[in-house]
Amino acid sequence: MADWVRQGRVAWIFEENFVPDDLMGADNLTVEDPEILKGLAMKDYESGFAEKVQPGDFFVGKSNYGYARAHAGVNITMKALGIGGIIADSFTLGYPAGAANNAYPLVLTCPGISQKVSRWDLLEVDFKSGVVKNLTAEEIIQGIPTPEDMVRMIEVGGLEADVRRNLEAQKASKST
Amino acid sequence: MPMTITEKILARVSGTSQVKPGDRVKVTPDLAMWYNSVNTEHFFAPLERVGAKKVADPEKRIFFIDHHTPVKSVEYANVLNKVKKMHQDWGVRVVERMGIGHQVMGEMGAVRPGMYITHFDSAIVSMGCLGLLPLPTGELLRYMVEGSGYVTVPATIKVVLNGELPKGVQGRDVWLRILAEAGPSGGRGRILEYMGPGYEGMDMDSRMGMMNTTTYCGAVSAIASPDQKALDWVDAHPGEPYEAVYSDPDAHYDEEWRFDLSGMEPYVAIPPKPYDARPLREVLGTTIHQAYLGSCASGRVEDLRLAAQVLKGQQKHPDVRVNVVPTSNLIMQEAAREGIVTTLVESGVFLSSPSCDYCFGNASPLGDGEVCVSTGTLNITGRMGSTKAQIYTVNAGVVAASAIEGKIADPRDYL
Repeated sequence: MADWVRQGRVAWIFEENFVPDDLMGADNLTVEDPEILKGLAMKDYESGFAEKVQPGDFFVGKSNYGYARAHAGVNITMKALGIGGIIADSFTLGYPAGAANNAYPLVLTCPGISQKVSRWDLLEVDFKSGVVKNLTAEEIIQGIPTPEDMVRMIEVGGLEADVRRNLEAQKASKST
Repeated sequence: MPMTITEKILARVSGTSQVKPGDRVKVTPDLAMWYNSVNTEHFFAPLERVGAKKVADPEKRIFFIDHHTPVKSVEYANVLNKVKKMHQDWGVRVVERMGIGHQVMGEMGAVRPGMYITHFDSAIVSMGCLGLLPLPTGELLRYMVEGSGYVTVPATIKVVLNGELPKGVQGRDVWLRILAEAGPSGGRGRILEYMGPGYEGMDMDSRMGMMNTTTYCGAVSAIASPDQKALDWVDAHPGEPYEAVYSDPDAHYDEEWRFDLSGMEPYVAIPPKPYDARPLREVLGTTIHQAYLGSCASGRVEDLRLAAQVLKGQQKHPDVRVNVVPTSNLIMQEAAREGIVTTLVESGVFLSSPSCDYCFGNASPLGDGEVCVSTGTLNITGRMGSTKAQIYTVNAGVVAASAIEGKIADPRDYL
């Protein structure tokens, strides 16, 4: 069962059309070792980023977060940093679907979020209902709730787990 | 309520009479396809992990073998044989070495107007010009096992093209010009529906080339109500009977974009961003080391014909590797009949049978510091080999003119 309501700080606010591969840089697209990736994380943005982030912190994006196909190292990097989710003004169409497939990261589309939070603000985010509480600025922002079919898929552990469950349910109903 | 062609198709495959943008609907595609991707075994491992012993609706599935073509290692030959056997056991059609699936699906009559088709690769969008709805999916596993999945009905942007394309300018350039204005998010989450006299004037190859990389502007797909030219193309490739679907005249569009094609110039996408599209003149004279004409975004008869017109009686530059790869076997046959093959080979190009491999560096990879002009789909870092190489994506005529001069050149100088 996914933990839908999470607290964390805004670790970074990315530019529009953020390309996830830029987390580790174009020269490191084939790296998949979590410790190496943690050291490479955000190297083109800020040195020593990994030391400043706490487990559970969020990434915030402007519009069209997730441009272009992301390599495997992206999620490994975010997990190594302990990123608790991504909230963006908008995502590319494929990004939330891909995240739901992997049941990681939790993502929330929340138009205007990038203008309403500052770096290191403490947020409480309900990734299912879409409610974002900025505990630092004492403001509530309503995002777009996650579609029910995606919620079901994330709760069971992603696409593979969901398909396996459906298949097993189908077999069980046939045998009864 | 009036509907667009997209809404009508999604209503049918979701078993309802009416849908509107934003609706989340459960759909059953008319056809789902995939290919032997870079990590073929890795790609099919999830099927074993979920315990699937068969594929849902195998008669509505096609497996194309167009990557790793020809196979280059014993290890991969063994993997591919295993994967082929899996598909044969499931009863899924396997189409091997006939060309790039995104083109061959049309040529074999497998896709028809009014259909909803899906694939994990966004390049299927090329087929939208046949009056069908191609929607790429990240959930192919679900479609393979369960047969249906969920999609959000996209809003539609009306794209009206006026005027006539000048010589040496192709659908590819029209798309790059649209992309230059739309940017990477201008079409986000919506579908582009083409129409207008400029669109009607373009031949089918140009339309496919224009639609191929639609997703680079954030749009989910491209489509057009089929005109006579589209229906003639479909009917020339026999398949199941179909019922064409058209947008209602008073359908609602989210936005309208208008472009005049007359007086247009060639465009280029500058490395390493696929959406960094600019007029070609900004990079004329850039020294190149490789020139590539092929892929599902080009390599069709119109493209080969344009390249042959430019290269006729010319020799390629001695310092440039030139790879020309017709997109399908049928296209190669037509190019041979028209004498295009002879012209190209006489000019010194390396002509290959159809394959996806040149587009992603699995054949003729770029070395460190090299520069390539390409009609391939992508110009991102490392796409065609070295991460220290650069790729300029252009139309087929630009590849040919640049191959002659050894630097990025304008095909209109040779026409």
